[in-house]
Amino acid sequence: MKKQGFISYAIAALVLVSLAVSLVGTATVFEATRHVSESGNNKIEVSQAPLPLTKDAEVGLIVRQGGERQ
Amino acid sequence: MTNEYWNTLSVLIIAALAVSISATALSIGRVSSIDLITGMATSTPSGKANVTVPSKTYISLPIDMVNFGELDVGLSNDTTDDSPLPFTLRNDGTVNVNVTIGATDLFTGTGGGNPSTYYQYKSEEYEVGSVINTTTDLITTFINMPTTGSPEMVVSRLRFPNAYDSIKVHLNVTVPLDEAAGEKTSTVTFTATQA
Repeated sequence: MKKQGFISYAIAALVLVSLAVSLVGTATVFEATRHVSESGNNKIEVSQAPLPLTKDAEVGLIVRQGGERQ
Repeated sequence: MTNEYWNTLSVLIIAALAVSISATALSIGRVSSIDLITGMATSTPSGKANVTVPSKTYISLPIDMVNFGELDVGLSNDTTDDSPLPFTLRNDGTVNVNVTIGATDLFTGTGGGNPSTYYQYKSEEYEVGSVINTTTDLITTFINMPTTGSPEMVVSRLRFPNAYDSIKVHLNVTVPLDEAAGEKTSTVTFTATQA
């Protein structure tokens, strides 16, 4: 009878330990979630101003030899 | 095993389940109060999505070559009669832009280096409404072409919607009297920045 009682209390102790672990895990996850969320509030703002853009074009002509001078 | 043991064990298990369920409910309640967590079902059927279109500066030159052909010394030609066609400058970005212009020298004759009256530019709307104010945002009369190193405004607040996002950049050239015969070229550089 004593042995059976010991087993019962051992099972109960295991249940309580499991419960404690579960609570600690839940608290840890919650704290990590809160930390991530707060990090989101403090995100670094990057300037959206775009860089200047450059494009090239060409102009051409031919100066005639012996053309009239005005 | 007596009934007392079983009763004690049952109470402990039920208590553990009750605490676990309560803690889970509490966690979900607290987590759902944080706005930044997305993807969680809510009690309301509506949702909100934020989309940010990035500012993008982009211009293109549908016509990027102006060839005046053969010219005698002392003679002038310009693009206002569309012969040859002027440059066309288009805003392909997502913001209004200011654009500057600068160019390498076209002539080597006396006084032919930029800026000079031998090589000039001005701007004009290609599509009506492409700028906000045609008087202040365009160069409406020919002015001397600046150097590449000291560019000057060719258009301000060039708009980006496709229906009105283009201008013409006209050129006016006069061959200096002492210009040597031969082929002359100049590279014109347009630089766009967000307005």
